[in-house]
This record gives sequence, structure tokens and C-alpha cells, in this order.
Amino acid sequence: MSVAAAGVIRWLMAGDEAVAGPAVRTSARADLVIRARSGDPEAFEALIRAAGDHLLAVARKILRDPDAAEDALQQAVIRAWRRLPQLRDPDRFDAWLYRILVMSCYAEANRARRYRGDVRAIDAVPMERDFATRIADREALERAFVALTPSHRAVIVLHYFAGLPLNEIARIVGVSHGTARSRLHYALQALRSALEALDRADPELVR
Amino acid sequence: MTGQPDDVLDARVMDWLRTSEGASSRDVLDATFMDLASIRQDRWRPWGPLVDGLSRPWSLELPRWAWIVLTLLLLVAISVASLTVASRLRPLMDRLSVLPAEPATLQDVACPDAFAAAGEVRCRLASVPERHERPAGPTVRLLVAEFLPSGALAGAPPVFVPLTLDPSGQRTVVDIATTAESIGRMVIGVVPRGRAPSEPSLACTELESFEQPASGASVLDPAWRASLGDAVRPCRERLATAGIDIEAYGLAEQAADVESIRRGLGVDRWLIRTVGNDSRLAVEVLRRYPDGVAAAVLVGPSFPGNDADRDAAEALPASIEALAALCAGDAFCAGRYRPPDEAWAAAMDRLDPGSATLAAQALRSALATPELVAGLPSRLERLAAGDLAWPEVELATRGWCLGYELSCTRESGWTGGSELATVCFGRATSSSPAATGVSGAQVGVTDLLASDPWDVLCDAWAGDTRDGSTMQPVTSDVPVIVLATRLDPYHSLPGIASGMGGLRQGVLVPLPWTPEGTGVGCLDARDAGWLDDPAAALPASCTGAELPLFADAP
Repeated sequence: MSVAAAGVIRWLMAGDEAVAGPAVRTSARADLVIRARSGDPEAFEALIRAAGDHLLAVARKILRDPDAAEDALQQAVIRAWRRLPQLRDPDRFDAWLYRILVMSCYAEANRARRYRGDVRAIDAVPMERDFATRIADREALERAFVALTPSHRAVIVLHYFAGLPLNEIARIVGVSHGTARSRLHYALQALRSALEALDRADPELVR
Repeated sequence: MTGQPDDVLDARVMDWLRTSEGASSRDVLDATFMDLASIRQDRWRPWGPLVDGLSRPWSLELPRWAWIVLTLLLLVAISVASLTVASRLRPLMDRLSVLPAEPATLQDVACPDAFAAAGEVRCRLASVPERHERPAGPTVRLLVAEFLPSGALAGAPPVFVPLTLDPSGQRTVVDIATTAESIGRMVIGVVPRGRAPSEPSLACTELESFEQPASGASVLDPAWRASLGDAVRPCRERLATAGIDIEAYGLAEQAADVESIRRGLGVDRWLIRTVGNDSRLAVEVLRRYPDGVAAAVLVGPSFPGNDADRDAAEALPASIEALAALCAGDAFCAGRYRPPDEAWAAAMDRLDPGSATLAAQALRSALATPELVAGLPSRLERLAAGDLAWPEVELATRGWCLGYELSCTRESGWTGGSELATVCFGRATSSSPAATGVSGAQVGVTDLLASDPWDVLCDAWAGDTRDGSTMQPVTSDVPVIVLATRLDPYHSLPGIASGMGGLRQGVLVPLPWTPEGTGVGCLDARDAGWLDDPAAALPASCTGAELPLFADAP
């Protein structure tokens, strides 16, 4: 078989795992998922507690509103509990949970639209660079980020904050791979433009 | 300074994006889990994944090959569904476009003199509306002739045939009387509207003085072609001035005439038998009034929906090959003459375009005339030697008429207006053979098609007033047997089979050749059982091969 033919067959056979890379899952965690799926609330709570802070951070990143993010997380946890019997593959639990969280964020954004014009400062890690510059960046990025749609925000947060590959993100947000890539490109470009505009307005801040 | 590299900008974006939110989920989760015990989980449903998959198909986790297979299957399913829906809807749409056909009023009249030779014939005049959708409007009168055989089968449905009488009428009438006798049933002939002695007559006396081109080459002459239209227009204007609604003489109204007369005669169901282009009327009756038809026998038919130019381009070469096969199967012909297909090819190589067109016209005429087939191998041999005498004589003596083997004379039955109405309203607006994609035809054939005068005639007669409902492929559940010879130079067997695509109980019987022409006499008394039971075995006489008695032509 030629190299090209082998490549074609690999491409045809490629499932999501081949692209996204095999997820590392312990058997204990899988057991928890199976138990939770069977209706064990303690197992479910253990799963959610372990990921709770991260999920809340993702929701806050997407929604840019702490209250809305908490509401979204709460809704996501309830939906996850109710729908858990429908989950076929325990190893897909994380992606499945991300998806429910993102959908809850969309619903929350559509319902309240509280994020518009209500941008709050967020806690930051200790700064190594000039404080004024970081603040200016943050405000510019906040403005640009809030101007994006929730679906664009979800893609960029899941990719750069949660560290998920595009294929996984496409399934989570329910779009094609190409659409996810396009949204990521658009969102990143918008953020770059915001920084460029900031640099043009205040050259002193440019490093 | 502006225009920082993307990687520098991205580093600043990433710094911000990856900044920890520093939020704790403890409180919100505490509140959530406090209520969780009271929330019941959804039950697992086997169709849940399917519903999810259908609602968000992109979320299905499948390898790419599976996606490709699924996509192909989906496309196939959509195609099949579309065709199925279209085939189911077409009969419905056809029925929706049906004209009303109230029973015709019938009045006994004396038969024309020609009917004296036909034995027992009863003639009546049927009155039907000129426009069937306007019953109170003007009427037309159609001659109805009932041919009674000496020993008619009791209870057997009668046979309807379109009756196109030449002025003497004798040959047609005797032919029909013979058919009635041989199949043992009453045959009911109806002279279509527009043709004498039906009233009014759309005869175009103006065309009788129209001069035919002296040779086949001149049919390509633009000036001559333009003169065709000039000859037709005065006739149309005269008839319209006389109050005749010319557009009411197309196939749709004619089909309604047939149905009105059937109901007026009190016939429960009848059989339809047509020869040649009269099949277009049969097709419209099958399409619009199938309940009154028990079965149909179409001999050498043409069907709507076919590309006539393309079909004709394929039919003539195929008929030459069929002639060659007949000749090869006959010891006398094979030993005496050059194979007809080789002779034809040699002639086309030798002749100039004008002469080739003339030869193609004459050959087509001869192939359609059974009594001339036996002499064709010898004539093609002479043609290959450059002898153009027989094509010129053929066209001159047989009265080539407007591109078809009809003679534009009263003696041949040509009336002009009724033929134009029948053909033109059911014919697509003109297009050149090149425009329809006809290519690769033999030399002579292409020019022959390009010279088809019906485009010019119909542009003058019908303008853009065409009846698209009579141009659609027909669908019907009525049993139909189609007899077609391989020598038919106008309609190819593949074209006929294609036109029959919507006849769910259609049977095509290819005939190599029949001495009577395109299958006349095939369904004689011995085989008439098929008429009563179309599911029965096909008539043996229709499938037997007969060879012409090949001989030197004068």
C-alpha cells in the first residue's frame, strides 16, 4: 500500500479520539460516572466538586458576569444530573459536561443579557509587568471580548483557557470543525485589534 | 508605534485569557446539591441518542468514512424520495388539468360515399363544445363511424381509432373495416376536429399552391424556409376571421372529444388503437381519461417528453443498421448487394452536403414505406456510386410535404390547419438540433434535422401559444402494448422505451419488419385475446420475424 493510500485510509478512519488525543481517565473516575448515571447523588457530587471551580471559571470567562456564571453553573449541574442516564460513554463525561455548561451559558446570556455594560474587574494573578499597562490591556480586552457573541466567546475560552482542541470544542458547542476554527480566528482577531487600537491611542503603554 | 507582530499581541491576549478567575464554586454547589436529591433523573430512552443525533447530527461521533457513507445514503434517499413523490404527483397534476368532457350529442347522418365499400357502417355526427370548459359556447361536429364486423364478440369492448380520411376515403375505410372483421369487434372511428368531413374544417387551401423545393438542398435555403411561414399565415388569419378558435384544436381538446364521444355512445370502456403520430392523441386520452380505456395498442408511436431531434438523429442510422441486419440474414440480399450500412456510409462520403440531405430525406421516406424496403439495398448501392436519380424521383413522385412523408395534397388527406393545430400546440418552441445537443449524426442527417420545416411552420401557426401539458411524459396504469419496428427512421427503440417509462403496464414489442408496415395486422383475430386480458402472453404473430423479399429496384 502506498504512503498516500495509507494516509487517506488513516484520514478516513480517523475518529474524534485520533484527532483529539486519547483522554486519560482513571477507572475510579469512570466508576463514579457509572454510579452517578445509575442515580447515585454522592458519586455525582464528587464528580462535580472536583471540577466545580474550573467550570465556574469557564462560565465567568464566557459570560463576564459572576452572578450569571453562578446561575449558569447551577443550571448546568441540574441538567447534567437529570440527563446523566443518557450518557453512553463514561469517558466522554468531561466533554459532555462542558457542552451542558456552554449551553447553559448561552441560555443565561440570552435570558438576562446582564453582561452588557456591566463589566466587572476580575481578580488577577500577581503582576510582573507594569501595572498600568496590564490594567489598560485588561480594559481594552474586556471591551472587545464583551462585544463578541457568547458563541464566539465560548470557543476562545474553551480553547485558550480550558485547553481543549478544536475538534472537541466543535462537538461541545455543536458546530462543525470549520465553524469552530472560523469563530476562533474571528474572536482572536477582534482581541488583537482591540490591543492595536489601544497601542495607537496610548503609545506610552506599548512595550 | 503600531503594527506589533501577532505573536506579541497573542501573548498579551493569552495573558489576559488565562488569568485565573479566582472564583470558588463551593457556595453555589452547596446550594445546588441541597436540592439535587429532590430532582429525578430522566429515564434512559433507547431512542434518546437517535433523537439527539437527528436534532444535532454533527454531534454524532463517527469516523469520517461513516460520515461519507451516511451522506451518500442520504443523497440516494433524497433522490429516490423525490422521484417517488414526483411520480405520485404527476398523475394527480395531470388529472387536475383535465378538461371537462360532458357526453356528446349524437345525430345519425348518411355516411360519406367512400364508406359503401366497408360493409356495415353506422355514421353519426357528434356535437361537442369547441372549448370543453365552455359548454355553452360554440360547438364543433365530429364524424363518428361505427364499423360492425359480421361476427362481433358479445360483450367485447369496442376499439376506438382516430379516423383520418383522404378525400376518397376508401383506403382508410377498407383498412378499418378489415381490422374490425379480423379482431371480431366493433371499431369506432372518429374524424378529429378540424378535418373534413368533421366541421368546421381547417383545410388550408393556401398551402396547396405552395411550391415545394425542387431538390432537398433547397430546404436549407433561408428564403424558402421563410416562405413557409408566409404561406401559413394567410390561412390562419382567414380561419380566425371566420370565427374559428384555432387554439382550441390542440391535443387537449381532442382528447376531451374522445372522452365526450365515449360517454355519448354509452361505451363503458373501450380499447384505443393508433398508428404513427396519432399515438399523441392516445397518450393524452390515457393521461386525462384513463377510466374509460381498457387497454391501448400503439403502433409505431411517438411519445411526448422525448427530444425529437435527438431521437431522429439516432433513429435513422439505427434503421439503416436494422436494414443491414435484415439483408445479412437473407442469402439473396447478402450475396447480391453491398451491405446497406456500408453503402450508405460510402454515399455520404461521396456526396456534397446538399445531395446528402436529399439522399437522407429520400432514404427516410423509403424506410417508412414497407413496399419500398425490399428494393433499398440495390438503391443504396446505386447511391454509393453517385446515382442520385432515385432520391429525386422518390421525393418528386411521393409528394414530399413540409419535411414529413405526408403529401400536401387533397388526394393524400392533407388538410393543413388540422395537422398544424395537432402538431404545433403540442410542440416545444423551435430550437436548432445543435442547441438540443444533437451531434455526431451522420452527414446528411444533421442537415436533414436542421431543415425540419415544422419549426418554421409552428412559429407561424402557434407562435408562443404552446400547451405544455401535452409535452410532459405520460404516466398511466392502463395496459398498453407498443409495436415498433427497428426500421422506423423517425423513432428509435430506446427513444420509444424512454417515452414509455411512465406506462406501468406498458409492453414494448420490437419488430424487425412487417410486410404491412408498422405492425398492422399483428393483433388479428387469433391474437385478440390480449385485448381482453393484457396480462396474457404476447401475441405470437407480433414477435415472429419476417424478411422482405429483397429484389432489384427499378
